[in-house]
Amino acid sequence: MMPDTLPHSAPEAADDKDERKLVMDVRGLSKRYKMTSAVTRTDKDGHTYKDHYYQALKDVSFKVWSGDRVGIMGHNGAGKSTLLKILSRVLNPSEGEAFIYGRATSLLEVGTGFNPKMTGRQNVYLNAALHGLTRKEIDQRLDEIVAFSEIGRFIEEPVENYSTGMRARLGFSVAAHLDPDILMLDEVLSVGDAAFQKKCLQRMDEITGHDRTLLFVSHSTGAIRRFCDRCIWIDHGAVVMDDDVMTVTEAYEAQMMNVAATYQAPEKSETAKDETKKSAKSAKPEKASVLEAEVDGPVAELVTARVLDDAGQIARSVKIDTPSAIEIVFDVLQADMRVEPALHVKNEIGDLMFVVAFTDDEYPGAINKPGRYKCCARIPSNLLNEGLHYITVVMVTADPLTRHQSVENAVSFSVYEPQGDDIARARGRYSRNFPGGLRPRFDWSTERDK
Amino acid sequence: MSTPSNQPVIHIRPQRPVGILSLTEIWNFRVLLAQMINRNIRSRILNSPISIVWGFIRPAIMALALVYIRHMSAANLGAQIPYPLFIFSGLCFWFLWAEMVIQSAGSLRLDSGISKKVYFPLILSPIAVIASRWVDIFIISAAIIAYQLYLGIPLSWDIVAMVPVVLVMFLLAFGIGVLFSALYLIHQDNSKFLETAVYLGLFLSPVLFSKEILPEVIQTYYNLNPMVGVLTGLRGALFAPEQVDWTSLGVSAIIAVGFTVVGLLLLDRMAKGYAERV
Repeated sequence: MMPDTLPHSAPEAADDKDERKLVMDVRGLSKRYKMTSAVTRTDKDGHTYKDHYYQALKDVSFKVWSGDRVGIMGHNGAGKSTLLKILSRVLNPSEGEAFIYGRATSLLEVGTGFNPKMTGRQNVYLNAALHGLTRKEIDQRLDEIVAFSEIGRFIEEPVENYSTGMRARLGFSVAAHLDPDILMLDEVLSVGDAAFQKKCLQRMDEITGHDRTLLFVSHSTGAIRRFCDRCIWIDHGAVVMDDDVMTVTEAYEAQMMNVAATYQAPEKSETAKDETKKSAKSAKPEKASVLEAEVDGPVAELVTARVLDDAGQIARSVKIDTPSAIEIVFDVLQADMRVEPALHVKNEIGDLMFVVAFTDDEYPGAINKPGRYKCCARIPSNLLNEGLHYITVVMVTADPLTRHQSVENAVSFSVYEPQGDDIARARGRYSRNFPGGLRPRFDWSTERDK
Repeated sequence: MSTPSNQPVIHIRPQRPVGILSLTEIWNFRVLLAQMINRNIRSRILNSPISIVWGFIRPAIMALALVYIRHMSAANLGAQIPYPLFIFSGLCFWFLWAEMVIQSAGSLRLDSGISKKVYFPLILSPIAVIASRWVDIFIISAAIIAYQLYLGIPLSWDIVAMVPVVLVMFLLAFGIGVLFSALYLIHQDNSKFLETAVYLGLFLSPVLFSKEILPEVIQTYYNLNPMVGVLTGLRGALFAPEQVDWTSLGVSAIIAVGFTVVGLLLLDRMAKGYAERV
């Protein structure tokens, strides 16, 4: 589409967006990099040509209204940083154009241009001037910036005497006090110690409140969910999706990390069933102590599996502080086998975190009659850590331990952290990512012991 | 569309909407320019405190050696004032000018850490390098004047001519610096040419000798070396016996403007793909 023929205001700008101002209008931005080596390509008519260019961005268009908190996500090399650099004007686009209305600040790094020989105070002036603050504005904010940075009397010391953390804190402190209408951020939040990060995040919330607009570039769905309400997914330089933050991040995880909240057993013919059995046999169980089923035909078969949120809806992502559930439907095909399901929970990198055994009181002796069963395993709130979780569903007989079927990564989902009460979601006063597979909330009590 | 007209609008497109020559943009970034000049002065002093006096110490040492050689050879180099003063003043201004040229040519690369992260008009870098050198003019002139008064060479009202002469000197350094900063973006090897040219210039310009000793044929075209007007101008302004050659200075000014215009146009072309090149 030619940029000129684009309507001046997008159709979706109709209702509520009408009251908000258009602050960013990106029309068909493209970026090509010239390469030293060429690739031979074939066009539609079959002609071959040498391609000397790398297309980093392809016809990217979107609009941002004031108050939007837009996350831009994509994997490494998807073009999101190129886009941010173009919008920050440090790179020129090859095609297309963009309009930014209002005072925009872009932070591709913190503490840009710090001169090691100059004092912290002098560097604050230089850095703030670089981001367009006037001398008067800097004078007014200096005390606040120094206080926020927790640098103390080091502010009169040359920056070369600072620790890395102090330098980052001073840089972020300036950044946090620029108060632009539109803030564009690369993942610069990963600076400073935990307490300082926390302060920065609060400050981010403050400055991106009401009428401020945020454009946040990240490859972490967690960070995007925490800061943004809208998300633009960029892949191979083009916009894949631009929608509500949960919709886009879930779609992203589904495609990029194979997250699937439902499992449906494939329709099988008789021969196929035999093959499955064979392949199930050939695929050796992980532990030698697990015996193969010495019976004819399959004993149990998983039919469906689903991840449900606390409202009983299928969910690819669940909040860390609400309960969720794994619902599995399976067929028991032979009598007196005392079949029961078990869950193997793996984390994002495939490490087995724990195994959940079947402990339903209603079926004390487990399931020993053929038929279709539906189990629901409820996962308490505040148990799993943030991130992706892959669930392997296993159908077993306990004694002797026999694994009848194992569906690797049958379902998966991500646990994310919404904004809210830090105590309730087991975060406490720590702002960093929590290590480990679990993040349970224990019941603490404290008393003063004289 | 409800776009407030009182708010700043940034228009991003492949062609830079305003060239690098935009005075409005430089004005909009005046706070940053002031901070950059400030930074250049401070960081130079903080990095090497001796650089405050080095502007006349180095010429003094070199002058000592050259005066001795000239004394041994009894060569006539055409100076109307004592030769030590002639060569000392020449070297002082020459080295300052040469440093300005080479530093402004390298300024884009020096500031690339900033310009890859934050937008600002690229032209601010060479401007800040040149503008931060006003301090040196005062220090060097003070040293030269002290020496000339010690030798009994009087000052005259011609010293007022320092203002236009120094302006031409700065503009010339800026023009050549900007031109080469653009050429550096094409290829870094261009720095070799500049360094050699500046080194050669020391011997081709009236630093060590007066232009009066040159053959007449050469004298006619000698003004085409833009440093001739600047150096005779500087000496004429400071030393009463010497005269400012206004024709020569005029030619220098025209050449300086020429370099500046060509340099800015080339840099404007190069600025488009700047971030990819640095």
